[in-house]
Amino acid sequence: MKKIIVILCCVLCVENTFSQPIVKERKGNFRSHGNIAGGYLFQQKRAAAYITGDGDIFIDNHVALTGNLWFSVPLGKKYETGIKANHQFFGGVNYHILKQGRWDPYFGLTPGIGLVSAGYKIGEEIRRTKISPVPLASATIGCNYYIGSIFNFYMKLQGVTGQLLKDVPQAVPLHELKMTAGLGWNFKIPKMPNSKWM
Amino acid sequence: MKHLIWLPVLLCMAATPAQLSAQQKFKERQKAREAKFAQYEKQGGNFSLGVRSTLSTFDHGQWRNPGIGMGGQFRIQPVDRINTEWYADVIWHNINNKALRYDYHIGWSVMYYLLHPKGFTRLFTPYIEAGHCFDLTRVKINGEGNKPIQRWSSAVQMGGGTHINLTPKFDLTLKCQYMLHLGNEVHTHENEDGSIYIETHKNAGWEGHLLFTLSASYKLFKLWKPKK
Repeated sequence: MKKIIVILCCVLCVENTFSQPIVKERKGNFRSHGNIAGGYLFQQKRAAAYITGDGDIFIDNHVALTGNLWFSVPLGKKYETGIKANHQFFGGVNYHILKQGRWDPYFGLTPGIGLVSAGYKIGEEIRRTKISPVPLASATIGCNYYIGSIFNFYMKLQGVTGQLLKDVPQAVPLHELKMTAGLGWNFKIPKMPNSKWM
Repeated sequence: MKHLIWLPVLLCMAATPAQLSAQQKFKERQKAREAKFAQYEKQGGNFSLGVRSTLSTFDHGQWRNPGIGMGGQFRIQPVDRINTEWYADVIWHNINNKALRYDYHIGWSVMYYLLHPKGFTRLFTPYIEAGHCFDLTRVKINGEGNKPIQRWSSAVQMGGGTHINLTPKFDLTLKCQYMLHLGNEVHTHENEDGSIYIETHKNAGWEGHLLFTLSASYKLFKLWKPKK
């Protein structure tokens, strides 16, 4: 019980420290989340699962620098060939349509790099490529709903395209729609002295 | 006949007042133009940073094997009507599901704004551009043990596009440009039986591709203060 009270006090302290919530002004805020996520690979016609995390730094009321990571989780041994690992990280810019308010719809351009491995068949033998880097093009749309100065609900869709070619007999397309939703958090970045950006 | 010697001198003297008047008119027009745009913040010294996605629709003279690419760029703007873009990207082409081609580019372009940007308060700022890049092309036939063949070359590109200024500091840019590779050529050929092989030519001539690029850029800071 004591622990819970301490945690609650800490949360309230943080709330008071960063008193200017993201609802009033986006600039100078940081927003993030960590979650599990799903994806759908169009060419392979199959689902994919990820552990994901992202972070947005609002450098303007409308603009945020963004970065996100997707760590792929194997979905059983059902698929012996095709994509075996598909870890990805992206960086780019998001444009937030509304400069204040609880609702925060946005879209962004987020190119990235994939670390991909695929299984393939040579005769009866199944082989697997080493994990190799693959350039990826990607775009994002999403929406946040800020429920206070710390927490937010979010929903994000990310379209990704790319191709793996590493010893596989045929190029492995990585055309995919990823989706994630849940509870994120945000806080005001303490202002740096003489900072031009924040 | 001697008086003909004086003819050019007389002509020059007659032309001088006309020239002076033309110069004056030009200066007046320039002043009027400057006064018209004086209310907008000078854009010289802007440093922008951004990301890009590229679609290559046209490859070596044929509509085939479209490629998709990604990369990043920064811009340094010297004056209101002129900007420079410095970029790096990679474009990949799936060649009939039998081979893969990667084009890596690193280069720069000079952009001229067809309309005065008015401090990028216009929604659209159209421009034309021309530039140069270095590129590395790697082609690899699918399958185990096939080594990629690569070549370095230089390229020139020109085209046009428009900024879509969502805010004065942030823009989406849509542009189209033709890129000509100058130097050694590497490409694939398909045999009648469907098998594929890579061919290289030394200084074989010009080859190129038509690129459509969508980019997003944010003006981060000013590198210098422009003159008022």
